[in-house]
Amino acid sequence: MNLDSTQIVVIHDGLISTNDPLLVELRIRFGEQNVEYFPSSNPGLEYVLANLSSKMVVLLDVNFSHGEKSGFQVFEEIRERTSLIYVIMITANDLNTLRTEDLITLVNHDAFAIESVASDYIKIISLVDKAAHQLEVRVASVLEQWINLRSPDEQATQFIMTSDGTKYTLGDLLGEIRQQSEIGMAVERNILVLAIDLLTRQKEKLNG
Amino acid sequence: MYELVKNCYDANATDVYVDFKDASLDPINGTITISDNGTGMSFSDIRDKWMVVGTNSKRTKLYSDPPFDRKFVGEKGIGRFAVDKLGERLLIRTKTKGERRRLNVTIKWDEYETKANAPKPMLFTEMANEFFYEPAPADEHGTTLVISRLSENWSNFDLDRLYIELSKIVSPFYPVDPPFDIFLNSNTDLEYRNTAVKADPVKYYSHYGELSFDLSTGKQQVLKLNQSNGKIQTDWIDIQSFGPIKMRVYYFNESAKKRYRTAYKNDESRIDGIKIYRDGIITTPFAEYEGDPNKKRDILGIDKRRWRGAFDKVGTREIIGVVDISKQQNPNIIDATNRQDFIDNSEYRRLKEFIIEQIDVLGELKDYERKVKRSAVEKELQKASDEVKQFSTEIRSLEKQIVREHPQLKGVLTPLVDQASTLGKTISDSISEQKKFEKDVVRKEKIYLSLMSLQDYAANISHAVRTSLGKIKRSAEFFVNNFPNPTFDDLFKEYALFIYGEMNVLLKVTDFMLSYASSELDFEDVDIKELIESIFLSEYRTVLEAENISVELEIRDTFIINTNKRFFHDIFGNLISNSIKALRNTPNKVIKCSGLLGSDAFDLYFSDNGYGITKGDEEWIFGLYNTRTADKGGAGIGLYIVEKRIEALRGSIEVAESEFKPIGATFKITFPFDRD
Amino acid sequence: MASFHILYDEEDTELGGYFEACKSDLVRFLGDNLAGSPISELNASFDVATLDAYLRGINPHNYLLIAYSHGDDSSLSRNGVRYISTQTNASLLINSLFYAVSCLSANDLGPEIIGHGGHIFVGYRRTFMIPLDYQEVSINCANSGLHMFILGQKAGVAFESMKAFYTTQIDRLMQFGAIIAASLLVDARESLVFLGDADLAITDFP
Repeated sequence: MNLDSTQIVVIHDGLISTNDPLLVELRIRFGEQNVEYFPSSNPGLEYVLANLSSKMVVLLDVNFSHGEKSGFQVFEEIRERTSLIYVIMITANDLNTLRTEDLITLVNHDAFAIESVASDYIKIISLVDKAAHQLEVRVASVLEQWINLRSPDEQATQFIMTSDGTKYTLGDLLGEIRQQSEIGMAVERNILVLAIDLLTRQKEKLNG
Repeated sequence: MYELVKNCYDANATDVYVDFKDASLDPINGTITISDNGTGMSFSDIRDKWMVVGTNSKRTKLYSDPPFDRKFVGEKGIGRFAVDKLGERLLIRTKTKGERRRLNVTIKWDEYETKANAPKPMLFTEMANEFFYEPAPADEHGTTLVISRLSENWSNFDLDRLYIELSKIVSPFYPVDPPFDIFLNSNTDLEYRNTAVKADPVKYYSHYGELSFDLSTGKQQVLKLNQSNGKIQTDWIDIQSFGPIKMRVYYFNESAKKRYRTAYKNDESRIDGIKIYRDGIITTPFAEYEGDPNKKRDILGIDKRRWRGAFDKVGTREIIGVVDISKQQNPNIIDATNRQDFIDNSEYRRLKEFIIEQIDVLGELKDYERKVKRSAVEKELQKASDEVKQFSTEIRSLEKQIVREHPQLKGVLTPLVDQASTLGKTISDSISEQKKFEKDVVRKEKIYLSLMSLQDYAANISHAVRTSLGKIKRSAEFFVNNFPNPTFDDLFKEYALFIYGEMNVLLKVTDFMLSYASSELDFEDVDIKELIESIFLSEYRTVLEAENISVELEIRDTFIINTNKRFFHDIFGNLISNSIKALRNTPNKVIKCSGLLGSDAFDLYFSDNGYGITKGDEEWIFGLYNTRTADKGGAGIGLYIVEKRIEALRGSIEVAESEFKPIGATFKITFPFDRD
Repeated sequence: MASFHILYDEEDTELGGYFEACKSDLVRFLGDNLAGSPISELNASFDVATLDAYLRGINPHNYLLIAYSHGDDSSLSRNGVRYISTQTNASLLINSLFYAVSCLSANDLGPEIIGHGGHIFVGYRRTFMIPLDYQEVSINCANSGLHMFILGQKAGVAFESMKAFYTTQIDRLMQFGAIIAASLLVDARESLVFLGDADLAITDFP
């Protein structure tokens, strides 16, 4: 799996197996090896949690069969680990019948979108596009990628010390960035400031 | 209109006059006047409260001023809108007690519309309204609304409807104090000449029950049926958690309903179930007007539970009832702020149960009457039999007498006598057959049909259909976007086949769902063993023979159930189809079906020696569209239907250890008996 | 000769090493470039309860005070005890050039000191993070302003030189690909504050 390219993970039990037109078109758009399909929720969730390093957009169904986790449960479990995976809910339920508390979960935990399974697949794919683009430009995602490219040794070395004396390794920072904690967000902000600083000075050089 | 009258109640009025003038033929020139003697409004009340849209409809207090202490029934912030709907112009004449002037405010809704649609629209609150004061006696108080340029005409029928709805505001049996009297007047409809709006006395009912309570002993009355004479009587229990209540309920059996229909010209909407009043006034969940009887909300859940035991339970279209509670005695029955229901606490749940328990007594009555009818028939038969026997005996003795004296008559009389005694014997035989049928050694059990609730049904159908449609749509969309393109030829073929197949599946699914909607679900007495045998040995015989499948049936005991045959056909049909697929590659194919009768349930085991069920799939296989045999044409609905049918009969199905271990599969189906 | 008074706590559990390293760097630089100037090293064993008296002793004349320490908006602290704060002894820093390598003190403490007659205050208005692989870079940057001042630049110019030095270090780290470390320096640089008389030079502190 190429760490640079975005993974599309489809966890849905309402598709026509692996040849559903949605999957076919997703593969054309994002690359054969970049689209994963799981017709049941538990294996799908396992895969996502085992591959947090990838840039990932997840298309997630709401209802699964008895004995499997529901789409909302899967979504919550992903969010417990990272904010950097975009999740698009695709449902066959009438949106009016969704429970308020589930909708609140989606909004508060930043679900990217919710769409009906009966919509044109073009519409669904354009949502995936948007989400993939966000991943490209979101600083936290970029940072995540950068950290992942360091060797395991590098990632385990203590890297930053905050003014209260806490030390963080790159691995720790990765977790903080995914959780969007204070220090995670501070690092994110600093990178942006750095980028702006470099750009402004480039500009000066060009102008001067 | 209903909302406006409720507002008068909230304003502590004791009298409300509703007057319709020229409203029937010429609404643009007609007026409606609502006049009350309540507290009245001040200028700031009108400007800051009455005119302002209530974004938060919570009141700051729940009860009106003493000594009335009325729990507010009207919805806050609605007055304005109610009036707007009725007519284009409004004149408010109002005065509070002690003021020396009466305030008159004119509001012209039509002009506001124009101004609101102007290029630079004005806000409603910015518009200057016309108003003036006139002198008035200090102790006058109240509000009059004069609505003109009416938006619709009011026919006599409309006024009748209004009268009925308004009559429901005040409890018919336990009236409110201080009183709240409504008078309806129309200059075009002769029936309404300042006529007091009162609930009609309930007529034509077949049975009646009334409950009260005794605080000194702490006891509450309940209804019970006297099984020996079929009369409804009362008994005493402790006052319940929701507090003491009074209740009156009128039951309309079939003949009572017929009489009612004749008297009220087929308008059965007045038989509308139970309503709850508090301190003489209707409670908010029951205070919403809904004209369409099919849309009336069944707040107490009376009809909902009816599905579960269809025949003897009494529903809202068969009773008129009033439950009377009071703020003081029943403080935990609280109107929910969404106005649709009461707050769901344990006291309210118990109250609902209690009400249903009383209604169930009427259900017992229904059953009693049915039994009485049946035994009446028996009695008739018995009487006929006795009479025939008597007739035979007398004829014989008569014959002997006559033949002694006139031997030539023997040829004529004897056949007649023989015929009479054959007839007598036939009747006796059929009577004892009927009795035998009743006391049959074979157990006759009833399996009640429990239909899934309408909500589940709707949710099921919409989810299934939407999923199916999504698949079909995407396949078609792919064509639209990509055809022609040789790279995708294989996919095009696949999708075309798929669309066809899925349409068929969709048809099956909707047929299945619609079978629940059909109002005629035929019930008949069915012998289980015979039924299963006929399914295997006649209906599916050809198919099973063609597949070389041998069948082993071991239904040791049998029993008769009163149920829907088609459901059983669906169950076994689908199980057999599944087995056929599973047995495709098995050399010696066997399907086995065995049944055991227990004291509480009937257990059926359905097995085949095919390739079995993958470990871990035991629950998954019952999900809609879940199939491991898509390549063999499996659509994943067979077992879904099987499970749903079995559940509808209050049974259950699960995967058991295979009788043909280590291969094959066994399903265990259990039908518990209804012990009522 | 200018007198240098350096407050630091080498025994601080979290940042003791860092503080000591900063002090050592400064002392070494002074030794190389302004030999003979009196340096008072007020380390962990210095009793801060006596600080007020100490300050009264030195503040009739111009002096330089440097603190490598924990801090907040209105105070500096050691081991949880505030030793310089707006509430107590800010006025005693009259006549000082005060450089505080500590979090946040530029927000309230700095202005308070200048208001009470302090000549110059340089500090940071945010908390900062230290890249552990590039601690010497961080220390060099932190002391670079003082270095320039000691070498003769006027205070204002030395401050600008400090920021320029930060920038060169940022670029250097970028060349190594140490992006996060570079970003921390940017943050620190942007956090620096200069208050007081920009025209003073080391010669004004005899």
